[in-house]
Amino acid sequence: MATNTLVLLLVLLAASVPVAAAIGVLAIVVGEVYSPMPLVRAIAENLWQTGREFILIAIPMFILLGEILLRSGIAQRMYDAMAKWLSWLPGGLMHSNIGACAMFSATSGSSVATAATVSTVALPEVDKRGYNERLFLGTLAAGGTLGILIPPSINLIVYGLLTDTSVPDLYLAGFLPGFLLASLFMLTVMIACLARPHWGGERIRATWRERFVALIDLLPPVLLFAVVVGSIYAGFATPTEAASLGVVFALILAACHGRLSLRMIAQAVEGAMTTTAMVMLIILAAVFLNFVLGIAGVIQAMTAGITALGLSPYELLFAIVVFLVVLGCFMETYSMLILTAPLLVPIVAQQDFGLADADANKVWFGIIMIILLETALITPPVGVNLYVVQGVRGRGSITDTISGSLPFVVTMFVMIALIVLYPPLTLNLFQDYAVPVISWFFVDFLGSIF
Amino acid sequence: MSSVASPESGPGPAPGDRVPGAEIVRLLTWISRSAIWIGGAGILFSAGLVTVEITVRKFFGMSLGGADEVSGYIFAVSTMWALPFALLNRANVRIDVVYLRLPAWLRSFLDVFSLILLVGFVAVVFWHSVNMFVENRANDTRSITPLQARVWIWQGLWILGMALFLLTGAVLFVLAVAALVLWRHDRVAGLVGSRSSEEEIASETAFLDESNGGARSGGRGAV
Repeated sequence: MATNTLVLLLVLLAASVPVAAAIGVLAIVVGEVYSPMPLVRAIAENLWQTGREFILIAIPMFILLGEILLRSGIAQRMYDAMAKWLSWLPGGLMHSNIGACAMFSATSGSSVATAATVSTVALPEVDKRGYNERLFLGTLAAGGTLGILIPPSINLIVYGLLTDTSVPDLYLAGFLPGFLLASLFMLTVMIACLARPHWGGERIRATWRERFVALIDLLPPVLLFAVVVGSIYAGFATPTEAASLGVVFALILAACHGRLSLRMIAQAVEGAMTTTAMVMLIILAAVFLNFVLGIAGVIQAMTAGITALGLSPYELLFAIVVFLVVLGCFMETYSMLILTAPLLVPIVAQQDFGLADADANKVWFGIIMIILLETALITPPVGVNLYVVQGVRGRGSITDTISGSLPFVVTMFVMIALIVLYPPLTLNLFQDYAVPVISWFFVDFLGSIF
Repeated sequence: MSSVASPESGPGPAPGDRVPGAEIVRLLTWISRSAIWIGGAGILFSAGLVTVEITVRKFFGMSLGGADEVSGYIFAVSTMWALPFALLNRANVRIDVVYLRLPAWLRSFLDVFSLILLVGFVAVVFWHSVNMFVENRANDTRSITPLQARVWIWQGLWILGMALFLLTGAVLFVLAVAALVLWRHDRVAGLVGSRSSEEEIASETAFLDESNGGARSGGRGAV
């Protein structure tokens, strides 16, 4: 039963059937063949239920927020400011690439948009300042992937919904690994450029005065981040409420930059809603598939099959990581997350990794899974960010972008190893030290002002 | 300016190539673009509503009540209303590792097959949703919340989006099959093919080209 289901799914996907249709058709077929009840009759209620899910409203909100920011020119200014602060390091502007990507993802939660925007601003500098082009391309493709890890991440919302994990907990867990990974990317560049100094290109000299003036351009994204993520961390708002606040705030920012127009809003809305529609159709189909698989007993059969293998928790984790890395070479990230999370997470949750409980397992594994999705974004043949960066570059071979991104795939593996060996990175560290400060700021400090 | 002839903005013929059905595709694009804008306006309205709700709750200690419920309805409806536009823009996520290595004629067949499954799936949902709607309409079902919203009105709007999607899908199907019969694989690809990475990037970076007259559409903004 489990095998047939899997084979049918793979055949449909390989035949390039849209992922939403493949999942939906699979759900209907499995419901007809393996269930004693006509499950398809529940499809309307099921989809209507999921389609109104409050937490999912954060998806169009965060995408819209990113689209508005892109169109308001904030990203370009942010990059220039980052260049003034970071490009004295060995590797020069490549650090600004990563820094700008990290910062942009901290406000938008979109990987492709991040990579596309920063690439467009950064790529003209390759020839002008004599960088090693491959590594430079790699920083852009890899930096762009930070968007799905650093909160507010849409992928974490989807993970939370499908595995019944608290999204605020996931956001708390993603913060430290996100910025640590960005730092590790920079370290990778530095090591490469210390070993091969001519890769580093010409550095930009900026005076301290220029740097402090440039801080004004970093202020909008920092404020936005504080509003959106801070309000979630402080328990002040749910992710959807924070995202709504963010949209309103971004519109105000765009207005301040003189970029707010009806045409701009129409374009932003078109882009955001197209993405939302496609992602939501996949999610709706997947939630119904999970319902069917659960009733038909397919999930139980799969879990039993894996348990029967008798692997130790860490052997199992290793097998899952290898499986996801391989899958990531061929699959687009949303589809991969939506298809695998509901199957893998229940199994992982029951294992003993020495964490507090099953919920802690789910949060910890969620972050590992998101970093694996990041590798999927830059591993060929299907690595969306590779194509985006290569497309903006518009010359040479994709092989340059691929080989430049490889070192960063290794860095991501190092990051996963760190999280596996030291789970507090995702669980206690940030909660224990930073959150009290944030809550104090939001609740006591702001509360006393108003 | 919603020209369907622009290769980035959706299906349509190359300039100078008069294709049967171009008019009706243009009309559908216009309708579905209006639908996506209305849905988007709804989402912006929700953002405002929820923002007011948080502000009122935090600083005045009271609640508007129902902001989350209304946002949920708007969200469900606007997602469905955005689907036809996504279909016309061929924005569906497809795994094209194998697809890209196949000959053009086989790709055309897979494109039509994919369309049948996608439209078929939504048709099944539509059929059962209409039953749900009819039942709720007859009973005048209200939501069990303080708002007591008439659920069937929202479900009706939700179903309307699906209907537009099915209509769009049916038209695309007829045109694609006609093109397939004529063995015009370029036309099939233009109507229902998988988007190439060039098209993907063109739409991702369209906003950077500010001088462009707004003809380009959004596409998949975030992954």
